[in-house]
Amino acid sequence: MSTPLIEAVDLCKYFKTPKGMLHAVENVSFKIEEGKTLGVVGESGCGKSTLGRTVLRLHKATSGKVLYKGEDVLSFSKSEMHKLHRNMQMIFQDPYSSLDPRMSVRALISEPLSGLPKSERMSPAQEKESVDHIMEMCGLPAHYANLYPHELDGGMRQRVGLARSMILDPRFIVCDEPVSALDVSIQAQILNLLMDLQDEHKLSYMFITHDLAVVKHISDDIMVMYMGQVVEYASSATLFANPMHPYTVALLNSIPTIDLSKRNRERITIHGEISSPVNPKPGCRFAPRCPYASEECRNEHKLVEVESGHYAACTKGVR
Amino acid sequence: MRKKKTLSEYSTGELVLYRFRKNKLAMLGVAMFLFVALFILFAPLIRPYDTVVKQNIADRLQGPSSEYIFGTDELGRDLFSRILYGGRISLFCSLAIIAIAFVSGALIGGAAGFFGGKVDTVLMRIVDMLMSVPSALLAMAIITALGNGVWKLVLALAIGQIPRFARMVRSSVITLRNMEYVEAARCFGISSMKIMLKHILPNGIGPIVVSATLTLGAVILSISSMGYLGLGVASPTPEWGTIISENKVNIQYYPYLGIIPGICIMLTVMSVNFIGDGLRDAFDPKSKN
Repeated sequence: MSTPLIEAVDLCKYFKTPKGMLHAVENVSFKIEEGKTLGVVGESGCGKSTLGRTVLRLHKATSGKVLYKGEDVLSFSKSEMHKLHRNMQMIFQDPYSSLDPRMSVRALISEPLSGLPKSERMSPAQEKESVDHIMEMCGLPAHYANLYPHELDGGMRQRVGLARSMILDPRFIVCDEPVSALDVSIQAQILNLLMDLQDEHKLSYMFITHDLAVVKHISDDIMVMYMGQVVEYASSATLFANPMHPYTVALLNSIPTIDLSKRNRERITIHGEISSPVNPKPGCRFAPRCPYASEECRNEHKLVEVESGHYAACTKGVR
Repeated sequence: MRKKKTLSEYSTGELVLYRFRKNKLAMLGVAMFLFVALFILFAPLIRPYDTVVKQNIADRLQGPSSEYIFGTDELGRDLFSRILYGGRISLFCSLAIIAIAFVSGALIGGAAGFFGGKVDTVLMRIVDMLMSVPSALLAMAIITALGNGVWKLVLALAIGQIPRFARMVRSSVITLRNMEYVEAARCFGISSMKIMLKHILPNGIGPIVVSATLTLGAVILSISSMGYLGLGVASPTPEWGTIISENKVNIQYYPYLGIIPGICIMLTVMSVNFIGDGLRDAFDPKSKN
């Protein structure tokens, strides 16, 4: 097997808080092949965004590795960082706060170019050309170049954000809930644009979201997280057809359906509150809320390959 | 539509200038400021310096007339010359004080807010120490230590103004530092220095500039209170605040002695205020036109 484009190995991110260590991301490992999408789902505060930011070194990882084509990104020195910036980019959730209100669309899109080392800079004419090209690619009319973000709607703003991330021609993009701030009709446009760009440029995505319908639409593999831990990791089709972890089962069960025959399906609801991620107890973090939890669940948490390519920390959700 | 086309051909700098020029109040401010500043700059062409200190007891406390446009004071000195030459100290020293306080406050507050952690704690405690001493007392202490002189006065008063700017800049930098667009810039490998200059400075400077222009009035008055205490500018050297305070016994019966220098201070403060307001609007792309 060839080296995957992006690979994370036992990535951990803890935050120091006055009460103790907050375990935001714990022992997360994944692989993303070129041109593929990994969907990361989980409820708010489960560490999905922290994971994305840690992969891009916006947060300093506590331990673990992130490999880009086999090179450990987390050990890059300052002079090597441009390799990371060139190849790994991010799209932000909120198109209102992720664009500087005082910069025109052209200035925003060309901004990443000014972060390149001097030897790789473009001439102003080349820069203009590549901005025009990228704008066209992202479906932005040329006359938008001199507008400011407040003059655009949410969808157009997100296109600007996307164009800005694309201008360095990265291989991998972390999409941090890129459509959750948009209307449903515009969500579809942006998702389609993302998928078209992926096809054309062989991009790999890490797609962070809490919207299961979106993740099913776009992902090849899906990773389900709960309080910093991966509870289940499988290909999209497998996960939706055959969820194993009780949390995944409950999560999938919560998707609204228009199928009348499923109208009276048994509802699985998760009771209780999320326990605190500060100094958590060992073992499965879902255990306090899990209907099937037994004594041993409180001791160990380990992903097991239950079938080829399907990892789950627990199989008690299967019935 | 046609207008938009032409607009889009301007660069950002030209747009800022364009917006500033279209702001009537700001242009009025520029006109007022130039009016005052030109008079002060070319004072020697209008009145020779010795009219400032020349006493003419026979003409004491004369109201405004063709010979003495602004009248004379208790000692028969020409108020017009005194205001012309006094403006040199009032206007230029206060501008220098604001500039020094603004720049050093912005540097301290910017560094504290941007880097956070230990840098923040250390810098802000120093600022707190400065703040805990009343600014007049602080200025007096500094002048006493350094000795008398106009530039020492400027320095002393500027140090007293640093904390307010540092505090203000720090809080706005902290707000802006956590904006997603700053995180995005980091993600593109933009250096901290560039992030400061391109994102944080333009977005945070508006309210600080306005507050700087408002502080100008207070600074002109504190120059004069220092003069009144015999620190910095001393009689017979004129200065707007000092002129008011040396004439205060006569103001009740000869009100022009207080009103005229007062109007000079007001005109200056107002003009700088309008300019500051206009600048803030001009830098904001959301403002209309």
